[in-house]
Amino acid sequence: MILPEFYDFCSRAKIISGENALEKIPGLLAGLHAGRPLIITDPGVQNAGLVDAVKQAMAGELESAPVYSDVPVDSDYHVVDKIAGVYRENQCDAIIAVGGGSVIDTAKGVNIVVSLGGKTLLDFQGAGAVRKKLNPLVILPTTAGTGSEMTLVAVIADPERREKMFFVSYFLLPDLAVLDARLTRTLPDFITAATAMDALSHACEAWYCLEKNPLSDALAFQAIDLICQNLLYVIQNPEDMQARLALANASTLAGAAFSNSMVGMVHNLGHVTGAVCHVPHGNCMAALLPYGLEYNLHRRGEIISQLLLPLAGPETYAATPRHQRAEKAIALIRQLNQDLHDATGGRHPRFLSEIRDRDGRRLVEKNMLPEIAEKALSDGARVPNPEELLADDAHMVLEHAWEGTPLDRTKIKTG
Amino acid sequence: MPQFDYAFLSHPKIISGACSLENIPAELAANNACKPLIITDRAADAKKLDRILIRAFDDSDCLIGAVFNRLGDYAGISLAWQAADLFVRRGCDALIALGSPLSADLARAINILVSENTPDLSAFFTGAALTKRLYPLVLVPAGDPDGTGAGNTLTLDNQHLYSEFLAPDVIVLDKRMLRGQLPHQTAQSAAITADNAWSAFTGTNPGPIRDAFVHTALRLLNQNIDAALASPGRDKPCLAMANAGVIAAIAAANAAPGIVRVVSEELARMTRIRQGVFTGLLAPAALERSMEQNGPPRPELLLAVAGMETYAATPEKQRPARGADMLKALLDKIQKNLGQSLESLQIPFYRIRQACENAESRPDAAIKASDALDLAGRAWKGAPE
Amino acid sequence: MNRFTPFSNAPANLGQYPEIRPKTSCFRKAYIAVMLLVVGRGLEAAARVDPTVRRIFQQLPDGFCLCLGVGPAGPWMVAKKDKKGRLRYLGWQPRAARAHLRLTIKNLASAMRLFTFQESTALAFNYDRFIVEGSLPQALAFMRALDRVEVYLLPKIIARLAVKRYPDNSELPGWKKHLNRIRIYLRAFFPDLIRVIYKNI
Repeated sequence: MILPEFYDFCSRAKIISGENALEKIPGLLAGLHAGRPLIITDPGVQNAGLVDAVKQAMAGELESAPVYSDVPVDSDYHVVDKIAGVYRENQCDAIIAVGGGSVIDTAKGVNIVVSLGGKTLLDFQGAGAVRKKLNPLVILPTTAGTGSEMTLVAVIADPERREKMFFVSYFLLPDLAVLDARLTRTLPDFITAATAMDALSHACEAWYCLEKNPLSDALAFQAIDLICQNLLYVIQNPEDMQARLALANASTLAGAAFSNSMVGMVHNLGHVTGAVCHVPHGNCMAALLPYGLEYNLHRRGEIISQLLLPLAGPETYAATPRHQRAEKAIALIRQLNQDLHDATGGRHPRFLSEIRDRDGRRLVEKNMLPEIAEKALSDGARVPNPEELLADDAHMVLEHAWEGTPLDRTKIKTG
Repeated sequence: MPQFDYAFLSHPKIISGACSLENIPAELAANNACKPLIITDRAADAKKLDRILIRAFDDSDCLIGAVFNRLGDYAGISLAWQAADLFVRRGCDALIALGSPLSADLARAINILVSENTPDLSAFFTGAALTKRLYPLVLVPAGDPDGTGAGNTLTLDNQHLYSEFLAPDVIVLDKRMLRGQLPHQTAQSAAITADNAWSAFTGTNPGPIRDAFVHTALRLLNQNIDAALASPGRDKPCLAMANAGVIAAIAAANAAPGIVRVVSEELARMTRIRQGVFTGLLAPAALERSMEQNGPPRPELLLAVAGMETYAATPEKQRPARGADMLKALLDKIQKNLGQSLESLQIPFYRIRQACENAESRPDAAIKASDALDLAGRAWKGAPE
Repeated sequence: MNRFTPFSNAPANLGQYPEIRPKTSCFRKAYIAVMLLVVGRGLEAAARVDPTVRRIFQQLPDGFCLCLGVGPAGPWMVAKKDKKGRLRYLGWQPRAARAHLRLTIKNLASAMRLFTFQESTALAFNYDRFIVEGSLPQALAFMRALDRVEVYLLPKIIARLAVKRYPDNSELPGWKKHLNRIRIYLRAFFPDLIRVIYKNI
């Protein structure tokens, strides 16, 4: 275990996990001196009946908690301001967010406005605007992938300026993150696959990026281990609650790891591909993850070779000669993508060129790659990547990831 | 299949390594504070550690309210009252606890006094909940970096108060604060770290996050203990040990207090010998006892203590036992540096019996006096040479 | 404060516990100031000489003002794109005019680590040593320019520590590097520097 020259680690959310985790929320809220939460969610979650399940579990007074269920997929600050109004009208004193990344970010934004006062989220832009403990925030992730419940960032769009606003503060971490298998049971297999691969990419990148530290390492290790042991099993046995809970745990662990050790080029290219081609985030991550490892191999060989232990288990690790471990780890991730592809009847894409929308149209065209490569220079995730990734390098990687061929190592510039 | 029925909280932000002290002003600013009161003990004061800390505030916007350096080796309410007066009169808005875990205790007591605005803490010790938001608390461990201050306990006048609101907001680990430990002091800290990790590992409802913290603590401890004992002047092992201490303490704060901790706290209170000595002597006995009663531990222990290569190379069936063996070796190494058995401390056995009975009457831990006595009996002779 | 009643019946003597105002360390400040001056002038020169740096600054809007420095009390480096679209180093006074992009190193000690090349720019960014005010893509663009300038200004043995990947011959041929280095040094320190110093004093 490497103790870096410097590191900081903060993972302030209290994690409640278990088969009856939902039932514990009222008591825990009372401990935070709150009793009237506003439930924020999106239409998909509402229609899946998850909010009702949550309310039922929180029997008693909380059953009548007001619900705002119209958070759109691309939430902006208008939505945040509107929900803040609902919160105040109902005289709430806490927020329960039920959903994926967009709902969670929106809830964080709402919490800023309602806790610090003011009319609109726009008043709180800029570094260091949030310096106080906010109202109690409970997050119930329903996707087991984003890990947003463990991050200190809220990304909220400003449609007028066509910009993303970043709010960063340790006070944005929720007070409680509740993991209950009932929340993820209804996920279809290909979404389970994509979100779990998202979590796997968080954990792998946390493992090899520049800001890695002993705690993020241990969390990432556990996360990878849990994903590799449970993902294919869950796809085949979607009703197994313990395995679902294991995946939810893995996602949260990976979230805690990457929130402290940051993510690298896989997310760098993935964010931009998502933005340019409107591709689901998890699919990009799954397709790009092996390339991130390959590209950084010459700098982080030893570290990446250690990934084989959680990926393949101790027996394979011990049986593989040291110099082959890194290659084997990369091959295993490719194999995992292939297995998921087979298990979901081809709905889990292996390469960028395989990502298609509902009508079967290809979302990432080869002629879009130069644009993605150029825009990748403006994404923050390029900084923690161990090797420099300029536009040429990004284009080279993207071409391989599009076609699904292993990287041509001779083309990687090593300086 | 591991169980996922658990709760876990790690409140503090840990900052460790180069220039970490200099981050304190920025951390205070992020918590909307700019005028800290520094609480330190005489040992840290004698090493002039407070001056290093003050130097770290150079060129910042902060003003240091005062340095309260009256703390000896006992944290009591009268001292807390004095410091709380100082805090209020100077208009401070944050606390920095520098030095041993006692200064963290004192800082916590001050924090409750000034934020609840009451001179009487007895209600809280008997179960009343904290109602007000506390001021930001920064912990700068120095001296014995056993991490005790990183937990969520306040020990004042031998009473214990647990609350998750008591955890420090920021923990700053800097090599400048950790230099010059004598081997027996390092061994005491290591003993407490190892015991914290062990009790977190074996406590009920572990969960993967607590395991990750235990893993980190034990790994850092076992990797660095030889270097830290052999050459106390080297910065890196000392920093790694302090990291292990803090991380183990956070893990332990998420589990019920272990038997070793409770008994050694009681013994230390009674005899005025340092707690780490007792922990070091009792821990091997506790491991042996646990092996007899509960069988070998989970195999993850081997991964934590020995690392990936050894773990993978050990056949699956042997991993639990091997993990216990390696932990035993680690504990024995620590004990050897303490160089004593319980008997050699020349405490009459009736006092040990009394300490064990006190341990049973502690409201915070469910420990039987008979178990405690059994443990003390095993540790009486120490490890056979 | 009015409600305050002393906790202790043996109040501590306030005189024993003086308030402490932190000092400033002039030496470190001076060193950083000189380094920032070199970087500022180097950026201005490189923006004319090196096509990569030029392209980075071309993409920024005209009138763009950037400020790099140490918080909270300086020193600073201010540069601005003038009307002709050229980058000009304006000196070390953080102007009243608002900077579009402000990169603040949290404290002098971190700045010393950065400018004594114990930490690369990327690593310092990762270690949270910077506070970025303004748009993140612009900050990243600026950092890319900074890396390039470091390659020119510093000898290889030091620059390797300061940047992630030191460009090899295929990325930046040796002869070109040396030629540009000479041009940048000449531009940075000779005719214009006196003007800047004069203006700032």
